[in-house]
Order: sequence, then structure tokens, then C-alpha cells
Amino acid sequence: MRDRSRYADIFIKTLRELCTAVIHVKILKTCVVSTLLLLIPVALCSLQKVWAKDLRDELWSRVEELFTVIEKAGSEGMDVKELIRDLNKAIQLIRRGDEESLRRAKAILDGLSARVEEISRELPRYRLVRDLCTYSRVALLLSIPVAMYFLLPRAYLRLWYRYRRRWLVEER
Amino acid sequence: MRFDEEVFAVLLAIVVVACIFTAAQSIPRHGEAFTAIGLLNEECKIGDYPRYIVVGEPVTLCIYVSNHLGKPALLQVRMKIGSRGYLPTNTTPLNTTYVVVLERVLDDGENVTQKITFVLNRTGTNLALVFELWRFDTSVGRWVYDGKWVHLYVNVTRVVPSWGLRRG
Repeated sequence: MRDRSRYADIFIKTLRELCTAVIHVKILKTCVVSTLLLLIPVALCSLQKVWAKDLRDELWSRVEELFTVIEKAGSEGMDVKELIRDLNKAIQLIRRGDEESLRRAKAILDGLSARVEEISRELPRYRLVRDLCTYSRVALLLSIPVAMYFLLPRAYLRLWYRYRRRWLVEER
Repeated sequence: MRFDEEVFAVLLAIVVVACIFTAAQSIPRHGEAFTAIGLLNEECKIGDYPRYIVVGEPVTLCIYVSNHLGKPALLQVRMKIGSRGYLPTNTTPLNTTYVVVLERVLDDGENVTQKITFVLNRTGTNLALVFELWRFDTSVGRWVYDGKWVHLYVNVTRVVPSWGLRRG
């Protein structure tokens, strides 16, 4: 009898411990799940901030790259007004910093990249044509006095004779 | 009329001078390269600057920037807080972090006047609102101080709430 009651006690005790353990596990699970649920939005927000910062840095480095080419083209005398206007728009959007603005800035910079590349390709030809025009103009201007030195007396004499073509020489 | 050699010489001299002058003008050249920065009031005019500022209240001023470098320039205006005796020089900027910053690309010969709004969060007497001009130097690939700045001395005060205490 005594043994039976002891076994029953042990059984009940074990059962109680088991139940407590199960309850503890449940509580633990609930805690873990709630922590995860709390952490996920925080992590998402942080990720978004990191993404926005990364994108902003990336866009800034693109602005700097594009400006380097625009500066070179502008210093050679190319018309870069439109490109500067678009670059300023992109800079303003990057400064705003929100997701939508960054996306718009990226789109503007994508469009600018193609145009800047085109300008970069055209630059050597533009430089050659510009130099040719300048030197030709200078050469033309400097050749005027030389031409005048040789041609003006002849032209004057030709005109002088033409004007007096019908004149008669009279002996006195 | 005989073709006079003296007349011819005078004509030739005039033509030589005129041609050399025109040729010199047609060669492209840049004058002195410089940038400029100016501080204007809220209405973007000279004078009538704020002397007293309240902590936490937005203040608006106008910044004028001009580019005559002979090429486009990526310029940046950094607003910092200095004090009497603690101002930038032609070679060194203030060694403090900036409160506000604004960037702009300007073509050669272009200028811009832009409003700048900021809030101060510390009190002080004779604080200097310093606006430094920085330029993106493409040869080194980073921002460099352009050696130009403007500043405005202000007193920044805090508004103390009155509790309306009455006697008797």
C-alpha cells in the first residue's frame, strides 16, 4: 500500500513538473515571438534608413562623377546649361532625402548619364572644330594687311585707268 | 589723282593696327578666375539684418553666390556657428560641424540668390553666423574650402515664460 501511494506521489509530482515545464516553454515561446514581432519593424526601419543612406551616398558619388565631365565640357566652351539645370534638380532631390525624392533623383541622373556620355564623345571633335575656326579667323585677320600691301596699289591703278578709259590725250 | 605713297602708308598702318586688335580680341581667353559669396536679409536685400534671434525659432536669410571661374562649378555653402574672435580665415575654415548646407552647380558667369532657413538651439552673445564657400575640386575629387566667407553677429536669447503672478 505504502509503495503504491509513493509511486502515485512520484507520478503526480512528475506530472506537475512536466506541466510547469510545458507552461514555461509556452511562456518562453510567447516571449520570443513577441520580441521578434517587435524587432522586425525596428529592423525594417533601420534597414530602410541604411538603404536610403547608401543610395544617397551612391547618388552623390554619381553627381560628382557627372559634374567632373560637365566641368570639362563647360571649360572647353560647350553649352552645358541644360545639363547643369538637371544636375541641380537631382541635387535638390538628394538633399530632401526621402525615398520618393531619391528615386526621382536616380531617374534624373540616369538620363543625365547618357547625355553626358554623348557630350564626352563629342568633345574632341568640338575642340578640333573650335580651334580650327579660331585659328582660321586669326589667320584671315592677320593676312588682310599683307593682302592690302600688295593688292591695294594695283586695284587703285586699275580703277584709275577704268575711270579714265575714254579720256583723250591732247597734244599742246 | 596720283597714288600717294604717304596716304598708302597711313592707310596700311591703320589697317595693321585694326587687324591686330581684332585678332587679339578673337582669341578666347579668361580673365581673373574668382567666386563670390554675399549675405542678404530675409527679403534678399542688403541691410536690415536680424540682430536678435530666439532659440528654437526659424531664421531666414539669403545667400548670394557667383561663379566666374571660367568653367562650371559645384559650390557648397556651409553655415557654422562661430563667435567674436573665432572666425575662418582666407586659408582655413572653422573647425566645427555645419548647421546647414546647400549645394548648387553654377555655370561660368552665373549667380544665384537662395533663401536659407535654420534654427539655433543654443544661446549666446555675439555669436557669429558664418557662411563658408566650398568648391568641389575635380582634380582631387573632394570638397575644398574656397577661402571666402561671410558672417553676421547675433545675440541668441531664450524666451522665458511669464506666469502672470499678481500681488495681493
